[in-house]
Amino acid sequence: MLGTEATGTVGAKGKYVVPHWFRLDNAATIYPAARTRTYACTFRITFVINENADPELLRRAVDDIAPRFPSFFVQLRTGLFWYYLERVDDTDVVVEESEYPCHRASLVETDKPAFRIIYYKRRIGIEMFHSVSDGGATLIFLKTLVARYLELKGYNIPKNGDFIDIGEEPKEYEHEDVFQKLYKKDVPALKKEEASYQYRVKTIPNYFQAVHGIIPVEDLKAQCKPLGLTITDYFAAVLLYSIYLDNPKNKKPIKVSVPISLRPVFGYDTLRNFSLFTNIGFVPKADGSTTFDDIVESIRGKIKADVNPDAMLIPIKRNVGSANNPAVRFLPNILKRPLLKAAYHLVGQRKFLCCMTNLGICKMPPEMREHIDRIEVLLGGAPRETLACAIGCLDETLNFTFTGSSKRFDIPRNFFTFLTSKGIRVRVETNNKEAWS
Amino acid sequence: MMRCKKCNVDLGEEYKRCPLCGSPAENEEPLIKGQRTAEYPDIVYRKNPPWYFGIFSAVYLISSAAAIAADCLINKTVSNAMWAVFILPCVWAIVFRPVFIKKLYFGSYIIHDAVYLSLLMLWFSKSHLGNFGPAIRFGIPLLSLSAAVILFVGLFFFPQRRKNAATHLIAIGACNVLLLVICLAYGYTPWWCAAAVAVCAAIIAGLCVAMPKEIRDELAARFRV
Repeated sequence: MLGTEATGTVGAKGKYVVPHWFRLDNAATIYPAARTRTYACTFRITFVINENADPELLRRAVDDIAPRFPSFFVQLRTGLFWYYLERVDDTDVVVEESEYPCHRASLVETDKPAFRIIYYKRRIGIEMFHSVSDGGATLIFLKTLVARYLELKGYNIPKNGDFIDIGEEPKEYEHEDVFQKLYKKDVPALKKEEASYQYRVKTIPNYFQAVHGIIPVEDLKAQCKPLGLTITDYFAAVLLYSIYLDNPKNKKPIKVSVPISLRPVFGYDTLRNFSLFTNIGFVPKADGSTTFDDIVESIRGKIKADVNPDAMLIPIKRNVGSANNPAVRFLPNILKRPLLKAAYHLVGQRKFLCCMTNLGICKMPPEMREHIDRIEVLLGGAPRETLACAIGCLDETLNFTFTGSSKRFDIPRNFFTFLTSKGIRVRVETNNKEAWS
Repeated sequence: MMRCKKCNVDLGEEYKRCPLCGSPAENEEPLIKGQRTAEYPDIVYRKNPPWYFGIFSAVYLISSAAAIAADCLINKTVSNAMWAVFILPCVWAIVFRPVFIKKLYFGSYIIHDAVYLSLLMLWFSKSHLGNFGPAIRFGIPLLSLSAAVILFVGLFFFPQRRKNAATHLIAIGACNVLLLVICLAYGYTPWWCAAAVAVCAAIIAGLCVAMPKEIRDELAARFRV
């Protein structure tokens, strides 16, 4: 039975009562407004397991973990001034994959939760509406689900802290909008940022192509170490170089957006959205002679410099300050939505060419790991983005996935052939069945 | 095991072409061992759905605008009814529907019908309020009453929709309060409007007594600033 405390704080016996509805956290407010007919604001995380998925056990596993994740079993609703997330009882979210990943078929405006659990042969995954949660928290949810699924299959999976123990009660800190807590007024204003070069190709509505590059981590480390780069830095540099090679005549800055999980930065364990973006890039030389090393020097240490609490408080101040502005708060949702939409599509998206997210190393107990081949992360991609990239890593195997709604995949080709030219082994898989015939 | 020699990458076991360059895949020993293809399903490509509702709305708005323009040119005025025909659906579609309706339940259709039927009435009727009088005095209040009663009866069959019904009834009641004020301002007896407001208020009060926390919670979610 759902709790009904609007504030969701503490019940009569000092026990945390989960609220019946949640405000959208600060990072989530943009997604309901940014939705379009072809852009569902979703992302997907999947585990490729060793044997074919059993849908009945998967449904049972969902039912078992649902009470532990009340902030996931929610649906987007429209209020007079703001959207909000209302808890729903329905746990019928398991569907066999039959559409393109992150497809438009509505996750919102239904009576079901704003995510779906998909399965197809050896793949078990989740497609999540981004207002509910971000990649980091969704990965924890998926790990918990798959751990429970494996338990139901009869395997013994120890609870070592890599996923959530479903025997516990939900915690209040898991449902916090931490952005509001971190908001400080006495922080310098955010500097204006130059627009990025935009990659333009013909896109096909309702089409979605994913190209996975499966890469051994040891090969990457061998390349990153001499350059003094992290794997994210290295991938960002290769991606920027691949974009540059696609159009070397371009003189505009080329920038990619890298989401940063704030959980390790600020030490919070919320299961709501808690990440911010930093844009990194370089300005191509006028004579078209930019080399990979030039790009490496341009971006070296940029992400690390941005990943510190002081630097992150600046965009938090801008975002939370704007949302707390009385003129914005009292503006009816119906007017707020087009304004936010315009700001997102016309201003926000011009600052970068594509998004490259890295979920980091997915940790799990060895007893669970032996049943899982690899992890895949897919970004739905924003309307103006013709390309999006996501990285997932399970032990020694990393999966770099390009997604987009175009059949022209020059940049991924540049990207992967650059890696192989450096001696990095790559295995390519795709959802495009043309490769099979 | 398949590879693309051109791109120098391993491919899935069943691949005939390289997804990156389109070159034929060649059967060779892979560089990365121990990987198996994770298959995706065959997808039937579907085009975007047609803009039925968009076309309907556009035709409605253009014809209403044309009617207002014709009124201006022929009668040298724009009657209240003309304005209402143009504005009311816009207000309903833009403001009320997204705020008050989570999903198109049966009750929602009733409310939609109430709006559209009353628009038809005001289009053909004549009175002191331009052509809007009968719709204000009888049409909208009577349809509101019917909607409220149907919602009320429905609450016994669909208890899970009680909270949503409360917000519907607030919307209906608020509309009728506005009509009541208009009636009083124009010197009409506002019985039907008052009856609709009273019925809505009574049902809402009943719901508040039956499930106070839920209703308070729902209103806090819907109207929080």
